[in-house]
Amino acid sequence: MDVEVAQAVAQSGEQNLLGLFWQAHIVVKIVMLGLVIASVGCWAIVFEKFAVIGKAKRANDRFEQLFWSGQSLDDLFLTLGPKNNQGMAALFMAAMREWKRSQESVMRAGFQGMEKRIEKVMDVQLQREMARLDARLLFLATVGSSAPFIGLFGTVWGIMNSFRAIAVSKSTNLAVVAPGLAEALFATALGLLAAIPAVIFYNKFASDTGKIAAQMENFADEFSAIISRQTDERM
Amino acid sequence: MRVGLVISFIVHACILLAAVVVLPEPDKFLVEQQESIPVEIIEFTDISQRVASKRDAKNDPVKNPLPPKVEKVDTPKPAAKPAKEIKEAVKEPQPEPEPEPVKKEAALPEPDPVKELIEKTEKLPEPEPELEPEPKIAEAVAKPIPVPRRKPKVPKSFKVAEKKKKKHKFDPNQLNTLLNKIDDERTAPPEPVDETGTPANSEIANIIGRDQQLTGSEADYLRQKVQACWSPPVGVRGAESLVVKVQFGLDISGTVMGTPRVLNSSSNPLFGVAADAAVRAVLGCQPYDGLPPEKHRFWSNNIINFDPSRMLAVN
Repeated sequence: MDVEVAQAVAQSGEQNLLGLFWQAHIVVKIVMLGLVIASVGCWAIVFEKFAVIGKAKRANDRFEQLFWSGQSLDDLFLTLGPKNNQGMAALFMAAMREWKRSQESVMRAGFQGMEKRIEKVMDVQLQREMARLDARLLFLATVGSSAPFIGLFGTVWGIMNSFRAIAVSKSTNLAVVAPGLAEALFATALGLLAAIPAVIFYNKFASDTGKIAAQMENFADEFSAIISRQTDERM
Repeated sequence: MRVGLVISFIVHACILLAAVVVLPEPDKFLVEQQESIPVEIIEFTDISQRVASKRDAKNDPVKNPLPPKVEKVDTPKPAAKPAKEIKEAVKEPQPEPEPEPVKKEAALPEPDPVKELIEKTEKLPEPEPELEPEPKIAEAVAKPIPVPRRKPKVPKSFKVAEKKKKKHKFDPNQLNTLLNKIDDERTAPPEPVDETGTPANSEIANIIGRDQQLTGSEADYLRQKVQACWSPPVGVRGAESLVVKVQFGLDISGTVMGTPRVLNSSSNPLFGVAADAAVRAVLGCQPYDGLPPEKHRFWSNNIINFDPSRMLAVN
């Protein structure tokens, strides 16, 4: 009797994904919802980072072409001036602004202080740019490492519940146990669904931003070397 | 970020929608309705009683009146003489006798091989070592021997014999004859008992007669009851020489009458200990009140083999 009732219950419940969700225990539901939200957030960040990093790369490439095209630095400064610059261009603009500003004080204090200031300014600008690129990458890392555990928690909870259901219904029929197990495992599936792309894209973006950071540092060093050469020539 | 969020949300919604709408529900497993296997619950007593009666029938031609030991000893003896004649006769290559033994022996286990098996397993613990050598020799000399010997008996005895003739080759039984050739302790002795007509010693005849009546379950009852109280010598070397044969009488209430007697002896220094343990087991487990009083005469005198290497065997 019990078995038949349980089977009827099991069969009445939809076995598709929504059915799995609605049958689940409230804790498991919360876990599932949280994981779905995490997944949505992850993918949002992934799309954003794709755009931001791609843009930064292109901008850097374009700027490097301009910079090494033999154009004079002042012309470059003038053409880039009104734009909202990013990446290397931003570094360059910061350095050039500092250079311009320092022209008056150079007469009094010499070039030593100016070179230092320019390096500092470029360093700060580099940090800013990197912070912009790195933003929210940490969220990907967190989701990647913790989502499986959260899903596992939902699974354990669901399995716990279905075992208690066995105890209550006094039937070990698979039809009684199976829906509970399925919904519980669905939580793990969601956890993995969120975690796998998060980990993959975190690794990709971390290496991309690392490369960009190295590029920009190289540029900053080269540019400060150029400035130092110029000041030496002037003296 | 906002753009990314929107895109991500839309993609997730699409995937979820696709999962709900497009993905079908999981295929139902094709479960073929399996016919339930009818299980008949059979009282063990039925089988064991049937076995006993069958054995009775088999033995009947040899010894019609059961209880008196003397007759049993007597009747087989004349049978032994023809056997020798036949042995000689068989040595001349005759095509006819060959198939007939099959019939004969095939007829015995008529009912079905399963019962045959049960019968065998029940017979297993019987101590019939004294019987063995003779049938073995008889079978070793020539399998078909029993054939002609049986022939003269057929008219005398019962329908059983006629049935035997009617039943022609029947595979499992042929197999049985083959098994017999292997001369297993279990298979070989029981059949030749009546056929070879070897002078059975009176004690054994007595045992057989009782076994026919005391059903397997009752013997089992005794065995289990005694076994519960028996602490066999464990880990003793040469346990096979520590088989203790204990005879004891039971009164109608199931209490042991007198003191159990140890029937055998052994050179094993531990035999005394084993014998004591056996006697203690028999005495310690009384009363044996689970035995049917109406059959008291069959369990009034019992012989139990305390075999540490196997377990107990009730005769």
